[in-house]
Amino acid sequence: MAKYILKKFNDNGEKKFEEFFDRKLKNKKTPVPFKYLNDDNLTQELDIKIEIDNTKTFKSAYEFGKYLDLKLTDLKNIRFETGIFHWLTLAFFNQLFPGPSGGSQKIKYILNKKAPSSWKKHLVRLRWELHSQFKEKSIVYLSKGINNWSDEEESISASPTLISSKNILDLYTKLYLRYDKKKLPKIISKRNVPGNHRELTKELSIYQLNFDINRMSVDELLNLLGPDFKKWASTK
Amino acid sequence: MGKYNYTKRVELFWDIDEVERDVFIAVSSLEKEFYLILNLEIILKKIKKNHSNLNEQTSKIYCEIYRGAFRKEVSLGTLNEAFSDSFSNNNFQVDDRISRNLDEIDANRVSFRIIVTNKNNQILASSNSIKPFFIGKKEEIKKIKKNREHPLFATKISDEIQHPWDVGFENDSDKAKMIPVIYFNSKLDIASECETDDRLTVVIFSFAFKELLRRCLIMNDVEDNKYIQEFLKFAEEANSNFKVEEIQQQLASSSESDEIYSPDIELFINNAVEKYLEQFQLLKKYENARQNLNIQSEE
Repeated sequence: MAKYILKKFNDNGEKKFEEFFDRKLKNKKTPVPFKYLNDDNLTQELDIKIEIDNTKTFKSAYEFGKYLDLKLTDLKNIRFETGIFHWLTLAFFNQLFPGPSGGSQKIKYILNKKAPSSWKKHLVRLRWELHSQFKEKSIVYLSKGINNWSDEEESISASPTLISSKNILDLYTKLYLRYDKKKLPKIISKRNVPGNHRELTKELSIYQLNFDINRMSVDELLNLLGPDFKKWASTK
Repeated sequence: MGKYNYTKRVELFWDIDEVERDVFIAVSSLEKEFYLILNLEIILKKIKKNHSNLNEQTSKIYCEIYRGAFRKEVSLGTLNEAFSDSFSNNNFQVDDRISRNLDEIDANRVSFRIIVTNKNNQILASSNSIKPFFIGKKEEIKKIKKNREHPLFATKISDEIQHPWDVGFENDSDKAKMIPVIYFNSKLDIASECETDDRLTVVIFSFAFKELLRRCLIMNDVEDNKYIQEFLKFAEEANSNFKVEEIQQQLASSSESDEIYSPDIELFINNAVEKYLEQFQLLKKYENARQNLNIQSEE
């Protein structure tokens, strides 16, 4: 592995990458075809030269999203450039696959052009998108490892209203994000404890029908919530 | 809208007949803008039914535009003074107070939502996710609003075509909902160039019209498709001597595969193209664009 100049898979490149992924699912020993990254028949060059270092390791999905946002910042209108995101997925494949418990769901790695609504489940594109929209605040959703599709990502990506709201992100941060003594981020909510982030997402999905949650301040949002949720705000 | 309705909110309708529609939204991929018409009279009536003490001055209207984690929020004023484009006496008027630019997002793939809130952040009215009308140029809104018709065809940016542009049908898995469309290749910038150069628009749109009409004529089982039926009706109105039904019968009874290119049908199609060019003043626009270009080069 090495440093590469970012390219974009053409249709054939995307097809070959998906074929590789399908083979990998069947046989975990299938080697990762990094040669595709520089194959002129499978890729096209971008207008600007961007160096991608796929030997770089990331402490968290947040660090990964930050790196991608920084690298892609000068490219315009890449939101729907599946060829770029697939190229990056292959470049960092060894760090992304499989998940910590062996997870290998296809939509986490392959962007289905016929189902763009599923793209928010993609391990590369979502991290880039969240960091590019919310910058350092995105850490509340991205504190886990880069191959770990976290509960926070799962719950927030279920709702277009919630995932796009800065105020909701601030509320999540106030309730659930803390830093340990080494100043490393940690999510304090637990699945089995009432008022956790999954329950909050469900609750907000109902509130958003009745209240203008996108334009309410964090304190106004907190006032709507019951004690099971409010208690997290004062939890160290 | 009964589920979890704690604020007596009312639903704003957008995908129903023109007379009952609360909100109309159209998107021009070419101009990267959206246009929005609120039927304020109906909206107010609906809200007041549930909120007799409604304060119109403090009730705000918002349009939210979504795509993934991207969200653009556009203020539409208050119920007392709403920002809304309008259509009356065949005149489409844009409201300059609306921030209608869609530059930051792919205009082909956005959803809209309208919400009305009171000063306590309670939602008084909201729409579900609105899929806009896709139009070429904003002038096409006149046709939709005046005749309560759909645009003859939509435009979309596509990464699935090989040519610079192409024609086809969206929703082609459902014959009742197929929509004629001009596709622009996402790898090229033709859609933007159409925006700034009417000559390109005329060249592409006139031929696209012709090809889409030809395809509509040979389609079977599309009697319930309002888009295609309106397209065919438009063409029929340009032809005093031919009926669409007769042409379709002629096509059905012929064993020749190139019957669709027969002189009669070619004449039918050409008459329709002529009407299309005239109605949208495309030749005039072409001439104006050419003259502007000449002036610029002389300067």
